This record gives sequence, structure tokens and C-alpha cells, in this order.
Amino acid sequence: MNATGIPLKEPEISAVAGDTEQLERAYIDASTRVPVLMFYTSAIAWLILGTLLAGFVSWKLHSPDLLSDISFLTWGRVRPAHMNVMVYGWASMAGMGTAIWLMARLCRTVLRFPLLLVAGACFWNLGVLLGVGGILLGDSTGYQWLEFPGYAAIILFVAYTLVASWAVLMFRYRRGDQIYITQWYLLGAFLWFPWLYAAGQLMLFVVPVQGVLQSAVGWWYANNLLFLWFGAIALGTAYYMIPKVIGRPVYSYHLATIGFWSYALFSSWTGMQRLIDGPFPAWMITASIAATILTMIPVATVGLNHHMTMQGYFPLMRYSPTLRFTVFGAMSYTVFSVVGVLISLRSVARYVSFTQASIAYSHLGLYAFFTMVIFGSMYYIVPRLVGREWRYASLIKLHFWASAYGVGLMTLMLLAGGFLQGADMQNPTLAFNVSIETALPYLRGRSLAGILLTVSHFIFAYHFGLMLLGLGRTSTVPTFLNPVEAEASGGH
Amino acid sequence: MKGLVPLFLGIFGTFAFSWLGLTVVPNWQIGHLNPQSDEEGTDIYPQPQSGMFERGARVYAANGCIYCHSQQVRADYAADDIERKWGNRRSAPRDYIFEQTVFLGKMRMGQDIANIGARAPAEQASPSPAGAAAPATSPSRGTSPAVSPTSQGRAPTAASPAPKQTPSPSPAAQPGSPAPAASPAAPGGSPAASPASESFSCSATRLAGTGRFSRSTGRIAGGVSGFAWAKRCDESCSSWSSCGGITGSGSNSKCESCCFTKPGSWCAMASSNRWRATDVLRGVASCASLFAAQHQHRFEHAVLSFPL
Repeated sequence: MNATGIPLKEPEISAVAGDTEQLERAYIDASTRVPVLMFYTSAIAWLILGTLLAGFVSWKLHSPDLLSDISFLTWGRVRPAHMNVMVYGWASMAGMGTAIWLMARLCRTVLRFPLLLVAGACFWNLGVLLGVGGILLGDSTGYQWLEFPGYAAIILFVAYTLVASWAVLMFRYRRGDQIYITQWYLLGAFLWFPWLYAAGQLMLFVVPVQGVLQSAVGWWYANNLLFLWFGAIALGTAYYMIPKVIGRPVYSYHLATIGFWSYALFSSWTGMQRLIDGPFPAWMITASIAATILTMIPVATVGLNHHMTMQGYFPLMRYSPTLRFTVFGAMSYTVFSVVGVLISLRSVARYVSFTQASIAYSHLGLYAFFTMVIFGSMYYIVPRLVGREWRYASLIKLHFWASAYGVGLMTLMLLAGGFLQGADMQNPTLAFNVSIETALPYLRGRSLAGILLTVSHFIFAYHFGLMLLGLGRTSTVPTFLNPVEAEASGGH
Repeated sequence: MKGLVPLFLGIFGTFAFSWLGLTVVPNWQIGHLNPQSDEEGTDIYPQPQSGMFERGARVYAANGCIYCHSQQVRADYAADDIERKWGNRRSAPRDYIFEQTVFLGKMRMGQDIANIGARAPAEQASPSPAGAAAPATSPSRGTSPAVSPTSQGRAPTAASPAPKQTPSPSPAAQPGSPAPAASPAAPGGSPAASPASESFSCSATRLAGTGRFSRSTGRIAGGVSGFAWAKRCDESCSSWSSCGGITGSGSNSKCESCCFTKPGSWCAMASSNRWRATDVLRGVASCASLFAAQHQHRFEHAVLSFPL
């Protein structure tokens, strides 16, 4: 494959060919309507629930008396419920929605076997519902990121099998020989996830490994879920959306190749970075630290690639909501990885492991990076599914700024609070409680950031609801964030 | 990328590499450890857990204790865990070989509790500056059916199976402790000798916990929110007489006053007040139903051997 063959360039060269392609695309988009909207709608419903739970969790951390008489509203249960709603309800479903749409587009064929996807979405929702209910009722397994009890995990796996088999089938029906970069990432994600999930379940519940290895498997799973599932979907999406919106091919295929393979190779080894100085053979942890440092290679190549693609087109972020969210997410990928390297260094980990800083790291990955990219893709995809344009540019702007400031503030608060908390914890002359009290103001700040994020999610859900009800604008021109001056467009 | 086959092979290959490297090889290396014994072959460590231990682990998992507490002590060159007296030595893989679910933990909004069973009584003797000492874990030396006492002297102290009715000073009374916001003092309506808020500890094998029970509000105070639940025993109801808690069944629990009357109902320590999870959990841990007992001899035992 070479750069000239990228099917992303705007088909303006030949008007006739362009028209057919436009038609074909519209046709493909229409065929993805029901399944993708199903995934999106469920995802946004989970997002709202997860946001409310998050606010509750955050608030209880500094006001623990809040509703603590009710067992299923105690902090220790709501916190995993929040995390699982976000990971499996929101992020996975939204990511799958986007991935499905991208698959259909890039295979250049109408979506076949939609029933597989519809059934998959239903089962997935059922699985998450049962899992979260189980956690709240005290059925949690006790492994972080894998809290769902067995009955929910099986349903999730069935749902996933449906979606993955759909992806493989679609791939067989694809037209053209080209496999675009996005498809590498998506195929990777679709194939990695089942192995990952099955390995995690098998090694923890079916044939449990002994002792501390459970934690090793658990964090290997969690980090790989973050990188190889969410990260891969988000990077693939960014590789599609950025060139698409600005109407320009990706800067370098070679860079993209290096980026993809180094990403797959190194990020899959980072799991033990969360267990620094734990009771493990030192080589495991050292290998993960080294792998984390080596993830700077994909970060640099992917970042450079996106940057060079965007070169000269950055002003378009003023207009295109998709571009603005996606570029924010792509930049956050760099920040996320740099923070990951920093907190993995043994000298730093001494202070920050066991503190709020690790929460900041997860939020950087799952929110600032993944969720922002997915928001961007939704702003692109949803109008093509419902045949309407987003109704209010102001709401999109509000959504963006509330999300961006919210997650930025949250990260800063948690990182700063975490560092101070860790510094106090590493000072044995201070009582342990001092370290908690040190973190307290920062946790309040985090709640403030949570309010911003809550506002942004409600705005987005409302806007999405309007689109779903067919109340978007009827227009051939997409909704731009700011009035477009002459020929500045391209966000499309 | 030339075609589909290299792509597939690469996707599988990279992942298989990581799977083998981070889970399969370590499993081969440290996944089949056995207990150790000293030269005479008498002092075996670690020892298999009792059934109560597993129940405690389920309680721990169900209520998300892991989101605030770690159970691993880092080496002295890596961190100050040992200086904080969270353990004599760093944790080693062998310590955990009998745990069905391992709760290493990633967060310390509460203290590390890897060796809590051994630590709690010692700390009570000299209250920590922050007043964080467990209020009612006064060790009564007894033999434990659930715990096989080791030869080490301190081992069985915290894991007393004997139900304790000894009310001891509330944490609120200790200097530096935050005011018990959740349990405002009742105006003298308390039947007990203690003031409106009564502290208690349950260390029968079925449940565990320590905290304060406010007669006026009917609320339990003593830690952060989130709690240890355990099924109460039906046979020794009397042993709960000084125990306040939340009763009910399953999730539909509600707060009740002191004594539990219905056998088989659920009993729990609740929480509420500020950052005293440590108080409650220390009490919780000092009961045999949780990990405490096992962690004591883990702690006493300095034999350490694992490949680095």
C-alpha cells in the first residue's frame, strides 16, 4: 500500500467519480444507522449514569457521611460501579459504535448482518446492567477492572463474540485491497479484546493462578484494556478523522507503520508498571517500566504523524467540532503517555504509587485521550446517521470547554494531590492521616472538576437526544463552531 | 503493510509475546510455591487458611476495601513502609499463596493492612499521634478455633475468638480525633454507662469491627464509608450484646440498635465519620473472620525467599 492509494482524499478530482463515491458513502452510512445508533444511545445512557455515580464517589471522598447508611451506596461499592459503568458501559459501547461505523466505511461495503450487532448491543447492555447491579449488591469479585461477577462476564463475552464475528465477516466482504491504518488498529482491537478478556477471566476465575500472580494478571489485563482496546480504537479513529476532516492524506505511512507495531509491542508489556516495588520478581516490574519508557516511540511517531498532517490546518479547529475534539484527544495521548512514564520511574513511583496520582493517570487515558476522540467521532458520525446536523454550535462549544477544563482540572488536582499525599506518606515522622488530610483540598477540587464534566455530559446527552428525535438542523452544511469565513471550510 | 496475513500474524504475535512474558512465564517461575518450614520441619509458613478467612475475603471484596487499602509492604530501600511499622520486612510472593483472592491494592486512602492483625494491638498500647488507634481491640488472649496459634508469642493476640463486651474509650475521646459528626451526643438518654456514643468491638469469629454506636441517632460511626459485612452467627447471639451495627438482610439493611435478635441476619460495621477507616478496618481485621490471624504469623516469620 502506498500513500497515493489512501481512500481518504476528498474525491474532488473527478466530479463524476466524486458523485458516485458520495452516493456510495451515504448508502453505507445509512446501512449502519440502527446498530451504531443503538451502541451510541446505550453508551450515552451509561455515560450519564456513570457521571452521576462519579460525582457521588468524588463527593463521598470528602463528605463520607453522605448516605453511608445504605449498603449499596457505600463508597466501596459505588466506586467500582462507577468505574465499570464507564469502562464497559460508556467507553466500550461508544468505542464499538465508532469502530463499527469506521469498519463499514473502510471496508467500503454496506453493513451486513446488522442483527449480529443489534443482538450484541442488547447482550452487552444486559451484561453491564447485571454486572453493575451485582457490584452494588455485594457480588464484586474484588479484582480491579474485573469486578463484574461471573454471570455478567459470560454475557459480556457472548455479546462481544457477536460483535467480533461481525467484524471478521465484514472484513471478508471488504472492497479493495487497501487496508487503511485505521483498520489495523480496529482489527487489532477487535482481536485483542477477546483474548485479553478470556485470558483474564480464565486465569483469575476458572483456573486461578496462585497468589500474587493474580494481581499481575489483573493489572496486565487492565493496562492492556486501556492500551490495546480503548487506545487502539481511539488512535484508529484519530487516524481516520483528522485526515478526513481536513481533506488531506496522512503525512507518512512509514511513520504510521512504525507507530502501530511499536504500540502493539510495547504498550502490551506495561501492565506491571502499576505494581512497582510489589512482591514480584524484579524482572517483571523492570520489564514493564522499560516497556512504558519505550512507548515513547509510538507516541513520538503517532504524534509527529498527526502533527505533520495537521500542519497548516490547525486553524480549522476553530470551526470543526470533530477536529477540535479529536486533536485534543490526540494531544492528550502524548500527555497520558508522558505521565505514564513519569509515574513509572522507580524514584517517582516511590511517592505516587498508592496515591491519587494513579487515578489521574487512568482518567488521562480513558477520558482526556479516549473519550475526547470518541466525542469527536460522534460529532462526525451522528449527523450522517440521522440525516440532520447538530442543532446548536453553542452547545458543542460548551461541551468541549466544559470537558476540556473539567478533565484538565481533574488531572491537575489528582496529580498534585497525589504527589503531596505521597510525599507525606513517605515521611514517617508524620502520622498517616496527615497524608490523607493533605490530599483533601485537592479531592474537593476534583469534585469541582467533576461538576464541569457533569455539565458537559448532560449538555452532550441533551444535544444527542435532539438529534435522535430528528430535531437537528436540516441543512447540507455541517454545524461549525464559529461562522465560517470564505473557503475556510473543509470540516465536513 | 503488504497484506492481511502479516497484519494478523503481527497482531497475534505481539499480544502472544506479552501474554507469555507477563503471565505465563511468571506463572512458571513463581506460580507454584509451597509453604516453607524451618530446619526441624515444625514451623510451617504460611499455613492454609481457615474457612472464615475466605469469608472475610469475600467481605473485603464485596465492599471494595481494596479501593482504600493496600496489603503489600514495600522494601525498605524502595519506600518507608517498614519505617511506618507496616511490616517487619517486605511482602513476598510466598506470603499470599493460600489466598484465594489476593488484594494487593493500589491505593492508600487508608493505611496498609497487610499485617494489621499483628499491628493493631501493639499500636493500641501507644496511641498514634493522630488518635488513630483502634478503640476496642484490647487483646484477650485465648485460644482460637479458627486460627491455629503459632508458637510465636504475639500471634494470637488480635485474633481473639472470645466475644468481647469490653467497651473501651471512643476514638472521639482521644486527642486529635475528629469530632464524631455522625453521632451527636444524646442529651443523657443513654441507658448505658458510657455516654451517648458507645464504642464497641466485635471480634467473634463471625463478624468484625469496631466503632462507635450512637444511641441517640442509632448510627454507627468509626470509619470511612464502606464497610465490612459478615453473616452473623446464629448460635451465639448473646455475644453480640454490646455490638451495634446494621442489620437486615443483604442489601436491604437498615440501622438497628444494639442487639441482634434475628439469627442469620446480616451484621455490619458501618461507618461514617471522616477518615477513620483505619479504625474500623483494624478492628475488622483483628477478628478472625478476616485475614488477621493469618497475617500475624506471616508477619512474625522472617523467612524470605523468592527469586529476584
